Amino acid sequence: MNEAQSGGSAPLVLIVDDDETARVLTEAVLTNADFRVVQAENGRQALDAFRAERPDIVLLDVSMPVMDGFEACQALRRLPGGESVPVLMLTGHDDIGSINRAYEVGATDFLAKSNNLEIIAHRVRYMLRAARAFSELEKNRKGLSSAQRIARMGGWEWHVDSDRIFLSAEVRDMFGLSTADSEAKAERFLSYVHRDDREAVHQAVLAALRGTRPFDLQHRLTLPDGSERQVHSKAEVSFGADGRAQNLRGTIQDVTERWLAEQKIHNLAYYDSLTGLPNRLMFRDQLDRAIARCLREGQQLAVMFLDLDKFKRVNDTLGHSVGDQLLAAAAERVANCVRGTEMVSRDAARLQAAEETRGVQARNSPHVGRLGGDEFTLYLEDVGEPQNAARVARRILAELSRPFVLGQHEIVMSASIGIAVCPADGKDVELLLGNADVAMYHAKEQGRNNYQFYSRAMNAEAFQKLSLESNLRRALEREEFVLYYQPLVSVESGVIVGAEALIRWRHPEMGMVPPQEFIPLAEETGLIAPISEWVLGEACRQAATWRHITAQLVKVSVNLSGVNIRQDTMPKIVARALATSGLEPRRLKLELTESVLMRDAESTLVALKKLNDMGVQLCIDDFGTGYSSFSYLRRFPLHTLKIDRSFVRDVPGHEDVAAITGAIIAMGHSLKLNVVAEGVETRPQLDYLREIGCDEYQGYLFSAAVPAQQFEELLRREKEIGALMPARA
Amino acid sequence: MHLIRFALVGRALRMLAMEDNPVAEGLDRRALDTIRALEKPGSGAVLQRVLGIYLKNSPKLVQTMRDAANVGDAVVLGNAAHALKSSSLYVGAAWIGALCREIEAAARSTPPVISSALVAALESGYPRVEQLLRAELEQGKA
Repeated sequence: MNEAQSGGSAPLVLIVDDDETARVLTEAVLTNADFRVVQAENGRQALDAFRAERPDIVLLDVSMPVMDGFEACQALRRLPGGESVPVLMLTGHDDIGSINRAYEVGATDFLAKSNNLEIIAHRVRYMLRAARAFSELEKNRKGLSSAQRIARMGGWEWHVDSDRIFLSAEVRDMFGLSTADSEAKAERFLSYVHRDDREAVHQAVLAALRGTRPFDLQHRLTLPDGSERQVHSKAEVSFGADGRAQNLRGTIQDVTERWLAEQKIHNLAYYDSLTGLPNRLMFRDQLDRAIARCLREGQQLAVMFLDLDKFKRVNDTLGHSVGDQLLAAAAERVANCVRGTEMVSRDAARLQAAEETRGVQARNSPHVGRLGGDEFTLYLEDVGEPQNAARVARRILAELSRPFVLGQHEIVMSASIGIAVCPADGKDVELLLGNADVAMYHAKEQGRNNYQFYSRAMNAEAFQKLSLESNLRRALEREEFVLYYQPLVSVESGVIVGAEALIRWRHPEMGMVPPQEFIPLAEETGLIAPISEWVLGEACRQAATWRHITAQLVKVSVNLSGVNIRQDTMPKIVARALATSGLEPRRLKLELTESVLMRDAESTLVALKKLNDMGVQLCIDDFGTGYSSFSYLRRFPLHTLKIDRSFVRDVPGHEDVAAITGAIIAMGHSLKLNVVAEGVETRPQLDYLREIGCDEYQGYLFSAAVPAQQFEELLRREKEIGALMPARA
Repeated sequence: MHLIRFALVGRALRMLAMEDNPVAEGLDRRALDTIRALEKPGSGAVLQRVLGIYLKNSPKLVQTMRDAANVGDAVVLGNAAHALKSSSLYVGAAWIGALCREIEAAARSTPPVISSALVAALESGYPRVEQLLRAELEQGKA
């Protein structure tokens, strides 16, 4: 070694040769070229020298006693640090046969000894440079690999023509995929994309291939073990000379952790930690979007401002901890009220639910927010009519009035609620919340524990409706309902063949309330079920007495609403009414409107068949006003078709209408149905109906709807006339 | 197999017989010049060191080859021939190098051939080479 010449940083070469002349000459060449040199005479010495000196490169003679070059090279490769050191194998002057062997044992390169000594220096220099480049590459690769591992990122490549995707080892490791996944049909990898995200990924790929949009999106993966990950995928497309996309080369990064952290931050920023409800910021944001939807769809939206009455007293007397618990519990009850509303509104078939604000559509979880302190806000989308909001408000008040049991405390609370309606009371968040707040103060002024609309008119309407609703509830108990009967008369003989039972409400203060004023409310509140049951029972009871008056078969018709027929219990209720009254089933006729029949034709069909099997007759009411499927009409076990009064009103004057009426009757007869006309008021109308073959009619021409007693009078009088004129055809 | 053996030995003998072979005349001066070219200020007298080593080791190698040939040890013969060949070629003793290459090749062929004739030729030729190299050494010292 020649330290003076080479300097500390010069590369160190280990020369291994048993031939001293060779060692001396090689050393001379290398020191001339500014390398540092150590020597060894054989393989064994070489290994010791390697451990001790850590040379940058090893020159290894093949043919040596003790341990030859091949053996030494193999042993060297197994030493720590020896696996990557460049080894130049020096073969004999003419020993070509050793070359293959040299590579087999792990030599980096070989050189045949020759008198051209300089070549050794060049070769060593070249090999060191190559080794450095290689180690840097290796370092970069390892660095990249660990960077990717740390960043939870990997690479992939999608060959468009073969439709195959190649995944890097990092991707496989990250997602626990098998080696079979590392190169597979694109479909296989896409199957790991979350079902709901597949379309988005597919569209992103197409857009990228078309070159319209870079591939850059976040989506989810569903891994073979069933777990879900959030990933960020990015890729570049390379296009061939023909302009077609050839492949998509990209990265995929697992951002699940970050996503979860973001969610957490989002929750902290947008949710109230005490109640778990959206905070002011989040609520306003949600409301803003809901208002936009409301205005766009032309719906109505109700905003409520709720303040717990005298909450401060709880905090002052029982402490903040109890106050907080109370707030959380109250928030839960309020949220449940709104949530319940939404569930119910989806299940229109459930009658008892109608009370719970039909029409309030749910889009998401309850839209309730905590504004701060003891103030809550909520909104109801697509509320239908504002009175539905009043119903929710009443429910919230009722819920909050139940005592709260917190530890050993039992606290009774109430709240004041203000309601503003969009668009009537405002079309933006500010105005609606502000007006709801104003309305809430009205509620406080009214003595708390109540709700107020911002609009006075709505308050009045709400009051009226509320009182009507509670009156309607009591009407059954107080027996305020009565039945009127309108006779059905045979067109041909003029004889009474039946009567349509029509309900009236004899209100103690309002007098006689016509059905169109309370039946919709009854349907809405679910009171239609007990009312209908009463009507059926009463009609059957009275009709059963008619046989004592006349031998004629006089049927009684009862109207069923759509709500009734969808009740599973309907056939049972009918059977009970018949059994209790003793009325023969064939004397009971149930009328359903066309639209009710068609709304849920299949399930209605089941109910109608049951009723038909009992021997009850079925009539389609208001025929011609709705849309009917002829095939359903044929399948329904109908007995009678009742033409809507609008077809009768204009005959015989209007020829068009007359033609249609004629066609309806013909159709009815072709279906073997009994055809009835209602609203017959004039003699020419009746004459025309007779002309076109209508079977029965009802209307003022014969009689208005009359109380039961009066109807019985009609029957009696007819019997007397019939006795006088037995010959009437 | 025998044909190959005889061909090897025959070629060596023919080479020896060529009186006008310039290599046989003496040293390959180009090899010596190459070594001299390595001598730079501070690197010392490389040629003198190498020649010194060669002249010290070579008689031992010749003796080893003689003994090996006598006892019929082809492995020792081959190794010694290899070593002498390599250093001889470095110092320009081309004739010795060529002879050793033939001896090594024969000794390492399968089955091994121990050519006593070639070893004898080496023994008889070496002193002359030694004389020439020693002259070079002396000249360098002067």
